[in-house]
Parts: sequence; structure tokens; C-alpha cells
Amino acid sequence: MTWREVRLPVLPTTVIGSYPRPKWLREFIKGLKAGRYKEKHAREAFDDAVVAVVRDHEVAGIDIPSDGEMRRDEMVEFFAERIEGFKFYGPVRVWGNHYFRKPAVVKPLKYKGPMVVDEFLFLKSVAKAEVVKVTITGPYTIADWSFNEYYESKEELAFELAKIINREIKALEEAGALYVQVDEPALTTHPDEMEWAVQAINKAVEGVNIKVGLHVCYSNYRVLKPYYDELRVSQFALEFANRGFRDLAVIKGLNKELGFGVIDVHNRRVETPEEVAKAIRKVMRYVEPECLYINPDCGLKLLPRDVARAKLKAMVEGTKIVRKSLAKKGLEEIVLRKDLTCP
Amino acid sequence: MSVKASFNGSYPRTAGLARLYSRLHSGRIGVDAFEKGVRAQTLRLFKLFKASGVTVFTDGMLRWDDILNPLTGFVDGVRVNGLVRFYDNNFFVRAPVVEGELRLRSDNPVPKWFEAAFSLAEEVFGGPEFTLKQPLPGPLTLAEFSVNKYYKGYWSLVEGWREGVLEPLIRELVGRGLKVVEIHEPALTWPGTSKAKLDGATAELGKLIRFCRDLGADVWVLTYFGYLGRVGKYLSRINEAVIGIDPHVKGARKAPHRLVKDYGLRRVMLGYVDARNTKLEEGKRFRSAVKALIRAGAEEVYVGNNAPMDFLPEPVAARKVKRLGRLTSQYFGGE
Repeated sequence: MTWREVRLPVLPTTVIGSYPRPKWLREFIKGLKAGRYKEKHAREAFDDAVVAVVRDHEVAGIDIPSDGEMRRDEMVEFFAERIEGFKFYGPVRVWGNHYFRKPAVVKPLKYKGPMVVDEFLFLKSVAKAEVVKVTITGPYTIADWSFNEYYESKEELAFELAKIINREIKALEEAGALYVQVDEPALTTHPDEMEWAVQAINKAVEGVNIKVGLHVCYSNYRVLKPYYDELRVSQFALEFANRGFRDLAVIKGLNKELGFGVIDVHNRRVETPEEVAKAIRKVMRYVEPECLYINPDCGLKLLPRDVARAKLKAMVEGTKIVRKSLAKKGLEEIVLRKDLTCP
Repeated sequence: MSVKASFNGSYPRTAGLARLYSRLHSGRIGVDAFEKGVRAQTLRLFKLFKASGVTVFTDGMLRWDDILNPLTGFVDGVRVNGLVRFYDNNFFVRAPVVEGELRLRSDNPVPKWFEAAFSLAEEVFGGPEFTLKQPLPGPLTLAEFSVNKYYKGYWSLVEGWREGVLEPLIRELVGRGLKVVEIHEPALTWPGTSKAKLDGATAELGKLIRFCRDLGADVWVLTYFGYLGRVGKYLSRINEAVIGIDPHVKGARKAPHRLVKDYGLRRVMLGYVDARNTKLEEGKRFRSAVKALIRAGAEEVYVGNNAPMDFLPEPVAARKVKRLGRLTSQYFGGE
């Protein structure tokens, strides 16, 4: 499929990826695991949940929706279950009383076939938006959040994963996806590994001709800064609300689009549109509005659904406040870009 | 010389205990049912220690969310804030925002929890043949995670944590029978901590160690994720304590036994069991690593997990505890 020009309102609003599963879906999953429902009913249930999520996004006014990652329990687990060579020993704590099933690499990794292409095709079929976002966990984060019992080094493991992720992104491109976001929340956690971690990400996006964003959150962005140019993606989606919009100066000199995190996903208090607008105005000291997307800090899945919905609505309303002032300057639309630099 | 197996810091909550927490938070069970569940899980853990031959241990910190919480939530002058990554792990802690003078609140539950765990350990071990340590965050680590909005200088903040929180807490714990304080100071060896801070930090730790000793309590200072050699010349200030060495750190220029020799460490906890990898430890290397420490001059040696075990699935943690006990007894049981 060839790249085509798509117009978007200035400051396009989007999500990072995950969204709270509807209560009925959580009950269904419990029932499925307990054997009360049959596997053949799962597809229908997950599809219905995606429809509900996309509807929430559309009602809130989100320009670029996702499927809320309804079919994924967790961002590393999901891919590890679909790549040959992983084993699961049990859940591991991430914070408080929250856990994920951290996988262990116990034999050579092998791509078994498309992992998220079906997700994209269904999302595209039910969303009104021309552009949707598909998220995929990056090679470095999968390597860092797995136990390595097989490969000589984490670097070797990450590059094996990069080859697999590259095949998947190309499969998405082939299926018609325009916008893929590689999630790398672990990227800056080992500063001494940044050189090869950046190369592993570049390997994962090598030869890809659609828009690629890179999401990095709860991280030391000063470690990322020296690699702004080197990373072959068109956008960085970063978290700033959780840190009270401190450290914004770190994006000075960013030569790519910024996906600006304005919603704290670990706090149930709903931001006001005015707070969102204020944050956007603040970041526009460093980033041109043509290069700015607006999103929550991270996935919304840990929030109650009504809170997530209200937060998205506030985010869109806050964005509209700023759009009004930009419209007065004649700036109302931008195009979807895949370029590695912006402006 | 005896070499003892030690369990340090936290043990992963079992799936059952995690469910109990969820049920408590959502109001589906009351405090009594929750307490009963925690008691059962702690008993189970102590039985694992006993069966494995691990006689120096903590309560597994089963009630803690991380090394800072819930303790920091029971400190006046603190508002517990958003999530912050715990060093280079996919593990997050809630950072304390310091907005006033730091003062330990009288309703902090740590002494009560220690007392309850001590009784359970007595029940399992049937006598005094165990050492129950109380893990606490060190003053430097507390300060490094703090968002300081009150104290004028960094060192006032560090001192605030030590004098306003740690010392009163340790005094109360010692009053309830605590004999060993296990101070967790990953900040001390973390590459991101400036060298300028190491001087002041070790001086602060030295004061805390003396405070504990005056009360009659022994102190362990556990460092992990970073290379202990960074602290090098300052180690003499804290080497009255048992010093934890993480041999699994990358980029270490000296092996643990070289650290012992070069910096005159006498009391050492070698974190041979890797709390960040599911691979089980090898026996032969275990023996030679410990022997090397003894040859280098260590007079008191413990072997344990290098870091809190929250980073492992519980079934793997259980296997590692058993392996730790078995290897220690196999190679050093008669010494």
C-alpha cells in the first residue's frame, strides 16, 4: 500500500494505546479462563469491546483512535506469547499491587506470523477516522522486561527481537496501516546500553515507509536527548503530566514531532480543559504547533473507564481552546507526516 | 568460620496475597480476613526459610509496596506522589514530596508488623535460632527519591530523613526486640549518584550506624544494581556494618573478594543469588566466590539475594531460596 497525504486538524489528539476494558469484558475473560465460555466466543467479545472503545474515543473527539489494546493483557506478555522461544514462570510486580507475567527467553526466538495485523484490520473497519494508531512493543523493552536465559547478552536478544518486530511492522504496512507507534518505556533505563538500544530500534523500523512514532515514558529524557537525530522515527510521544510539566526544556532542539503527554494516567483526578490548554501553550515555547500532537502520558488502562473517558474529553476540550488561537493565525490543519524531521 | 544464608529485603507476594490486597482495597473483605491471610502467607514464608536452612531473614516485606512505601506515607511533612522508576527496573515506586519538616508519625505500623512477624518466626523455628532483620530505606536513597520542597539544602533533607524518621523508628523497633537493621542503600552505588554525594552520604550512614550500635542493634548496609567500588575510599566509615555486595552488576572493575581486600571489609553479605534473573545459580561458582572472600580477609560472611526479590515470579523466588539454603549447607555447613 502506498503512503498517501491525510489532513488532520492542527494539534491532532490521539491516545497512547491502552484503554480500560469494559467491565463486561473483564467478566467474560474471567469466565473464559475458568472454562465457562468457549474460545470461539472470544473473537466476538473482543471485537465488541473494540467497537465500544472506538466509540468512546470518537465521542470524546479523539482524532486518531486506537483499539485500546483490548486483546492484550500486557504489552510484553502479548508479544512474548506470540513469538516462539518464550516461557512464563508467573507474575512479577510492577508497582503497588500491580503485576505482569514477565516472560523468560529459554530458546532461540522465531517469528511465527503476524501478531497485530488482525487488530489493525478490525480497528480500521470500525473507526470513522482515516488514520488509526497501532502500537507495538519495541525490541529493547521486550528484551529488558524479559529474563534472558538463552542469549549471550541482552544486546543479542534485542537484535533478534528487532528482526521480528521489523517483519511485523512491514506486515502492518502491507495491510494498509499509516501510523505505527513503537513503545519503548524501558529505553533510557540503562544509559550505558543506549548506543545499541537505539540501533536495535532503528533495525526494527528499517525499510518501513509509514509514520512511526516512538513512545517513551517515566524516563530520564536527558538520556534520550543525545539520540533525537539518530532515531529513525518521525515522532516522540513523551509523558509530561505525571512530572508536573517539569523538564520541558529537555525537548529544546527536538527536530521531530512531539506527542505531548498532558493527562496523568496514574491519578483519577480529571484535568480541566484550561489546565490542558495551559500545558500546551507552555510546550509551544519549544515545539512548533505544526509538529505537536496531543495525547495522555501513557495508556489509560489502569483508570476506571468513566474517568478515562472524562480525561480524554478534557484533553480534547483543552486542545480546542488552543486551536482557536491558532486558527486566528491561520493555522487549522496539518498533514500526517512520516518524515524523520519536523518542521 | 561460619557462612550463613541470608534472605534480604522483599519476597514476591504470592498470587493469593495479591488477590487479598485487591479484595481489601475494593472492600470485598474486611481487615480481619486480610490480616489472617497475611499471617498465613508470612507463616508459609518462614516455613520455607526453615526448610531451606535460611536462618537470617526478613519478613519478606509482604506488606510493603516497595522499599519506601508505606513507610513514607506515615511521615508528617510528606505527600506521597506519582510513580517513579526504581533505578533500571520495570518497577515503580511512589516518590515522597517533602513539603514540611520530616517527622515519623506515631501511627506508623512498622513496629507492630515487626512484632507480629517475630512471634510467627518463633512459632516456626521453635526457639531463638533465627535472626529477623528489619529492612528500611537508607537516608541517601530516601533523599534521592524525594521531591524536596521544604529543606533549604540537600544535606538538611538527608539529615531530616535520618533524624526525623529513621532514628525514631529504629529506637521503637529496638524497643520491641529488633537486633538487626537492614539498611537498603542502592543510591550509594548507583552510577547516577554524583561522587560528591558519596562523601556526605557515607558520613550520614556512619552516624546512623553509631546510633544503632548505641542502642545495641547491628546494622547491615545493602547496596545493589551498582558497583561498590565507587564508594571505595569512604567504605571505612561504614565497614562496622555488614556490607552487601551485588556481584551481578555490569562494569564492575573488581571482583567482590578484591573489594574485601582493597577496602578492608570484614563483614560481608555476598548477593550471589540474582534477584533479577530466573536462571538458577551454579554450585561450583558459589563455593569459589565465597572461599575467595574468606581468603581476602572477610571475617563474617553471609550469602543471599543481591536485591529485593520483587523482580522475580514467586515460584522462581521459592526455588532460589531453596537453592541458597542447600548450597550454603552443602559447601559450608560444617565450617
